[in-house]
Amino acid sequence: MNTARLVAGLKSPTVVVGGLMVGIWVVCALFAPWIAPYDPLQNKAPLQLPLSTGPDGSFYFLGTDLLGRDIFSRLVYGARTVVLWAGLATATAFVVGLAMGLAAGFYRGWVDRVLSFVANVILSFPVLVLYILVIVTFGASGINIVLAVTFASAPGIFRIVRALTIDIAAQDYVAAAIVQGESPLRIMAAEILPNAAGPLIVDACLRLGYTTITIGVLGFLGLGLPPPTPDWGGMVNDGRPMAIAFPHMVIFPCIAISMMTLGLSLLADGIREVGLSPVRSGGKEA
Amino acid sequence: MSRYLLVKLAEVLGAMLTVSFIVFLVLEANVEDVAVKVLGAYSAPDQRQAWLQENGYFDPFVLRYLRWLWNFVTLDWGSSTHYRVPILEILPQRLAATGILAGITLAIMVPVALILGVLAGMREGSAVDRGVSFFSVLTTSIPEFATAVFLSAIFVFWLRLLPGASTMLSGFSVTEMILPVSVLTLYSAGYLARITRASMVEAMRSPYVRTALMKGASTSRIVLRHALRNALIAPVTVVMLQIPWLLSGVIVVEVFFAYKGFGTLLYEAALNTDVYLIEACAMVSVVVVVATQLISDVLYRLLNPRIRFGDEPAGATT
Amino acid sequence: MSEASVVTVDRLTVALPRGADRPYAVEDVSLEVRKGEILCVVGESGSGKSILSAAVMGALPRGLKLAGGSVRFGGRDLAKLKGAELRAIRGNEIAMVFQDPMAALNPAIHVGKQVEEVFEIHTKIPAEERRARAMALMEATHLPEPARIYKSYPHEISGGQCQRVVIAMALALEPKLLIADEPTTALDVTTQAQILKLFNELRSGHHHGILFITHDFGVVREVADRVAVMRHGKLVEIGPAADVLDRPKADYTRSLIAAVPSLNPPPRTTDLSKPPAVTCTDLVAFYGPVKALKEVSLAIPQGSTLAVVGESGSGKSTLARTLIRLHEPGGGSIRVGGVDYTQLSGGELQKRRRLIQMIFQNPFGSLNPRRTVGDVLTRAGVLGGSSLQGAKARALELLDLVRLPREAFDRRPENFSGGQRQRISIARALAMNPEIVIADESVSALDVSVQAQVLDLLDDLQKKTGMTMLFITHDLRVAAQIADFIAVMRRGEVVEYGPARKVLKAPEHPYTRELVAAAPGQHAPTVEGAAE
Repeated sequence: MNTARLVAGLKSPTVVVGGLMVGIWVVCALFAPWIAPYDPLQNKAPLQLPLSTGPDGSFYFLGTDLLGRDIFSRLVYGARTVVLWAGLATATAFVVGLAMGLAAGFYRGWVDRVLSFVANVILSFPVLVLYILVIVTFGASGINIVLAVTFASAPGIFRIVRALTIDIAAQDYVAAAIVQGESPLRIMAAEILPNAAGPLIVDACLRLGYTTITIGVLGFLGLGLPPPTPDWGGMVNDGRPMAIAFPHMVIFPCIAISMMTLGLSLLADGIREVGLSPVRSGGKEA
Repeated sequence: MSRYLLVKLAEVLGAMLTVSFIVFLVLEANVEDVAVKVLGAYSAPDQRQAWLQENGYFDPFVLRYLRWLWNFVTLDWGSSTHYRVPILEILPQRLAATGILAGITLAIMVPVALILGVLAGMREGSAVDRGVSFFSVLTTSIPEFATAVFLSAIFVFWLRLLPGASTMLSGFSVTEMILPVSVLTLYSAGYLARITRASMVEAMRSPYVRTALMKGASTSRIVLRHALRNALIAPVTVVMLQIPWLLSGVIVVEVFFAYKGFGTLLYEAALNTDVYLIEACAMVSVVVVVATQLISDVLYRLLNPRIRFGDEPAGATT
Repeated sequence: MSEASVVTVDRLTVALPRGADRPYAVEDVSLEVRKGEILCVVGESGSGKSILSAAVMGALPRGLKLAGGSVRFGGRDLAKLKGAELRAIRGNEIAMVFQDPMAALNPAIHVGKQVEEVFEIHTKIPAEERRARAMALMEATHLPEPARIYKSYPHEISGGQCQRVVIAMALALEPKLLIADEPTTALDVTTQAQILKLFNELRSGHHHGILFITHDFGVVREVADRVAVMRHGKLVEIGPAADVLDRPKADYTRSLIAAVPSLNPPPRTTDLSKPPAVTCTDLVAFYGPVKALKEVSLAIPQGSTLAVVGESGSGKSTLARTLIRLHEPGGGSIRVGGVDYTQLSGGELQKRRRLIQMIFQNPFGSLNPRRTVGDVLTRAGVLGGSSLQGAKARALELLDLVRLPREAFDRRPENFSGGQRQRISIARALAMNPEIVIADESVSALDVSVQAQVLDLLDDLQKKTGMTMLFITHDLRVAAQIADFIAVMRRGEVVEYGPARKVLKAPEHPYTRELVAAAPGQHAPTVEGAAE
């Protein structure tokens, strides 16, 4: 990405707002022990309301939950869970989808037919049913979530990469590389991938958002990371029985996850707009 | 058309067979596990062996799969180990309940999203356009359980206008439907509105709209006669593809509001490792998804005069 | 301003948005279109000719602003009209014909209905009569079987037929002014000739003033009564066709006309007695079940140029792509550099790719926007068998050879114009020391002056390096300028093949004769009451 594009990005309010919303939680994830006032697992005082001071004189910014754990501290540590597992899961899904998509789009023919069929089969599952099936069978753990997300979202990434690859492979500069006797791997790496990078970065932001939602939903359904790991979706699930009386236990984790996913969407939108703006190289002559 | 349909049907059947095989593989490859799940964790080992023997679980895997598939096709779906009733006694009524929920949602969501999308796309960059775009980013980015929490906090906890659960214990209740339908509508409308907008913007930029403008056509004629027809092809097909997506949202919403539908049934089956019920639910949802994909594909071809049946969608040459 | 003036453009100025390469798209342009004449506005890309036509229609693209002047039409200033007033005139008193007829028609509505719509918008004629009149218009524009075409979608009829429909639509209400923006650019040359004939018929009817925008001086010669030449948004010269075309006053006009390739082949000094560099025998290629190449046999002597000429769908590009193995041959053989190129596969093919190189059509798609020119040329050299050092040195030499500054080495394609990019593509092809270079419509996307320079460069390179060239083109005039031999293709077959001069001057096949006759620029309009 060149500097002109970077400057344009920093001038776009969408990118800045989205970046801030995501950035806050990334900072929390990185520096959790220094930001969180208390141990997220420690039983302090049950059911304290937000902005209240407990019997031992501790101040609870966002209150405590049923087990007396500080909600703010759990949110800060929960950011770690999300950033780590959503990041990891999206990254592996991208590696798989990218490899499949490049191969299918470049070689076409039977490679494409086989890979596309596999992708269609996986896409015939409603996503959540697929997750439930995997988690129920193999158990709930971070690694299983990564595997399930990879399995479920790689086909979507595959489709986008495949379409982009077919598009770019039809360009004459790819034909020129073929005609020069360039190897297929090098063509994919040097000619196709760099020119697909823009749309793929946008898609990566959106996928990261979907994965964050997925991990949240699994936590909400009680199928996420095993307790007592602080996890935003799980916090909503824990607080649900008492939510009518003490809504703060569920509202704050929901705000946290919404901030994260909305931030990622805005970031994706902003990057797309900046990418389409006239800074772009190579227009057509009228 | 018939040739195209046959090929498509074969493809769909192939996908469904593969999926059914995966479901069976995941849930029944380990027969010991099945015995534990069906007979319970405290059953005696020889008791399990006897049960496995009796139910043909020592037959070759492929044979067991084919038998299972045959039973599924002939509607012999077995019994739920959790509810202790034949699956066919509970699944249809739950499916109907979910059908009502999804039906009401679609009936509200589709017109709203299409109108918003068309209004936004008609004048690219206008205030309406930016408003709709922001609304759709907002609603599609927020997970449905968070939307449910926010709406409940406002309408149940704070304003005390609506019930917080939709158990429908005393028969069908309109007030209990409002929140689940709202959550699902908000969650899905944004995406459809976005697709419609993009499609409309593209149509409004096209050379044929310029031609109509140069003929002296009025804005309303341009939108209604020229742009809309071409712009609605994509969203109409997307509506069908959204149904599987809605199915995921339905599970969360049903669980949140304790609505007794297909989603909660699948969820409870999963929590209680009710193997046969999970299998039945998974297969039903796959049938629904594949059917909607097929309908969407056929619809696209019917709506788009440029594609005749039998052609590939991207058949244009230079 | 004569009495017959239909529209008078007076000192029209259109401002470009800030940050553009110049302040005005159109600057201080005055001209008029008279009843019963065709005024051709001609210019290269970026001359502002299309913006001028949009301004006359009152439909400037977004971001452009009228900065002065007027467009007077029947006592009104079109530049100042708004909404309903403008709508009442469009399609009624002023009508437009577009460049890409297929895209200009709504894909989801029967074309007949689209012609009818003009009546629907501007008149109260009953449905029955609307239909009859639409049908009559479609007949008047010489559409075959109007009843069948009436009920067709645009994709079901040919490009030329689409353009006739668009013209029928434009003529519906007998407009005083007809604006045609590059109406034949997207069409094949034989179709172009027919559409130009139709325009000449329209002029003879004396009902309309026609403003005809084009980049092609050949087309100008076929239809224009008067000619206006534009450059960088300004009017360079305007006058009767005979004066501007044959006795141009401005240097720019003179150089433009000189750059137009002529159908007369210049004398060539190529030694044609050498053995063939490439021989293809009974070459066959399929697209699905369609046989796109039908047993094509050709041989090109070393150091000479063969031009393959044909219209769209003739198989000329398939021939190029099959020769170079971008498309798999379905039979036959290609002998080059002592091997049968069709029999190579896998790594063996990759190694021998060097033998045949290609210069592509679209200068904006043939260079990877992410790689510097030096990187591209050096890599080509390395793949051609040089050391990295050798390839770098050779890349700089190649830049000299294609007349680009050595600074180009570190730049990316975005910094170069279309013509410069084609030079880079040529250098890339030469970097591999190929036995034969295929140029696939390599100059057709370029402006005529740039086109002449690139053709000149190719000719010069051939003299210097002795390269063999296969030149694919749709333009017989370009072929005449560069080729030693010409092969004419039609529906996958070579219908005529021989020395360039013979094919052009004494064509044997009726289709070749048709093509030669259709090449624009050979006949002045059938003058019948033209202005002056």
